[in-house]
Amino acid sequence: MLVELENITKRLGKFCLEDISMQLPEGYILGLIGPNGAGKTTLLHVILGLYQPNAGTVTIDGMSYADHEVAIREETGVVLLEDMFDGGLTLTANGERYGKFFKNYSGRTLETYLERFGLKSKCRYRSLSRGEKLKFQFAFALAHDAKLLVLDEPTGNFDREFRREFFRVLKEFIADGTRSVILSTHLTDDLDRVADYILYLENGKSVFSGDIETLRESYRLVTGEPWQIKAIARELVIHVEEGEHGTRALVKNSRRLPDDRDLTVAVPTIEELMYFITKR
Amino acid sequence: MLRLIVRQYVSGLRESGADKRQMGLNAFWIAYAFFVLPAPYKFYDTGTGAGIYLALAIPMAWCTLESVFCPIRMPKILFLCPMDAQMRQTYIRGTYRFKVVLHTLLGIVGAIVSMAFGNDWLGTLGAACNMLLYSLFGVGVDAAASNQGGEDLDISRWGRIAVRVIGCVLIIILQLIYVSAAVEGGILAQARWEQVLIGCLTALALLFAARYVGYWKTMQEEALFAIREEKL
Repeated sequence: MLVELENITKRLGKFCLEDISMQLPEGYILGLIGPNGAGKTTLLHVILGLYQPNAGTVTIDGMSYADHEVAIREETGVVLLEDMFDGGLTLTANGERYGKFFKNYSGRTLETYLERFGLKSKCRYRSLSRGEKLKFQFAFALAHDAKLLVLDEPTGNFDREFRREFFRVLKEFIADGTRSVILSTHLTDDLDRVADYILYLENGKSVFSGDIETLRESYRLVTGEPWQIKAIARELVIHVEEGEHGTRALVKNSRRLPDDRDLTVAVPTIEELMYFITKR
Repeated sequence: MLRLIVRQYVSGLRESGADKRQMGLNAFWIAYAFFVLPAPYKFYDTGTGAGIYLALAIPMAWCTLESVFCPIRMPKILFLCPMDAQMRQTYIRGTYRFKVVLHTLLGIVGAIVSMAFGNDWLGTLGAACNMLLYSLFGVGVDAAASNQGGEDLDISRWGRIAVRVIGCVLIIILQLIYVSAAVEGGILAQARWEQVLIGCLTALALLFAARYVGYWKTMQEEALFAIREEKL
């Protein structure tokens, strides 16, 4: 396992991240999803060693922060929704200043990615837009040959074209089977295509943690007449939504679901799962 | 490490992370120091008085302002770079020493300038030492702590803040005395009782400074946190 979280608990004022466990093997992408305030950024900060958990352990590539912080940092690339670099320096100068802390940092690799992402290496960091700053963070994270990429909601700031490029790069990143990605995002459409694992948080608790196929197989989206939906056993129903064109319900996948040809049963997308689970 | 410290200092000045409320408060007191405080003493009535006052006040004002917009704090990016705890402590310690030396040097320059306006050697030395003491208080590790939500500070920090505030006030009073004495020809030109008073105030300021430096270990640990959890 590249990343292992065991029973992580973190209290911050009135908010509490409770008993979060997760395992991510090498060569996979984990999508960290949840509504605003669910605790996604808090959990990422725990994974990055910026917060000390009140309970539980974080293991990155078999190492703990207490004993191997430097080695973990060498292997971790980060993209956060913050201005982390020096605004007065050019992108290349920023890369040189902070890249020298990493043994495997390559200025040439940074230049390659900057060109690929449409960024000019000689422009100052502060002159970039928010999306461009995130692109630079992404390029820097790739330039020091990280094993684990941790990305906190970058996709909302990318245009559609770059989002495609972004996911292409992520797939290239994990292609050799030795690296992994943790991607926190609201935009779940893309996760349906690229994520292998999902960790779904709500109010600081884990609603689901596991591979995406198991998640999909655990639920079904049922559409039909209200009386048909009511016929489904209550304990299977997560949430019902009545609309103009019929009634939809998210239900647990079970053999006990009625065998009714007029009922439409579909595998829910991650977005639909999030929507219904949040609404329950 | 020194190169990193200097670069981060320059970056910090450029990319001010100042809390607006604290900045406003400090700006108010600095404006007060330059425009209101000298009035009863009539420092601006003569060129000599104005020269001495500005020479000794400007370094203090700079130290005060800079502690707010450039406090000692590990930038988040350095937490995400492969630096171990020892390196971070070296960085924080080095930054503190760098700032104390920088502000003391500014104070020495100011004191030497005051000598050109008629201050004696004892007054010049006293003003320079005063600036050293002020920089120990004012360099801003504690500003990093107090910037993150004063209402959440715990009682142990109130003690530290009290020592800092009282110490700073003492030093400012001392500096005013040095200015007054310098305008009249220096400390050696003052009456014996005034010289004793200056000596006693200096000793008191030294005690407060020593007490404040005793908090250094705690302040250093706080400055090492990537994120101040009390902010939430």
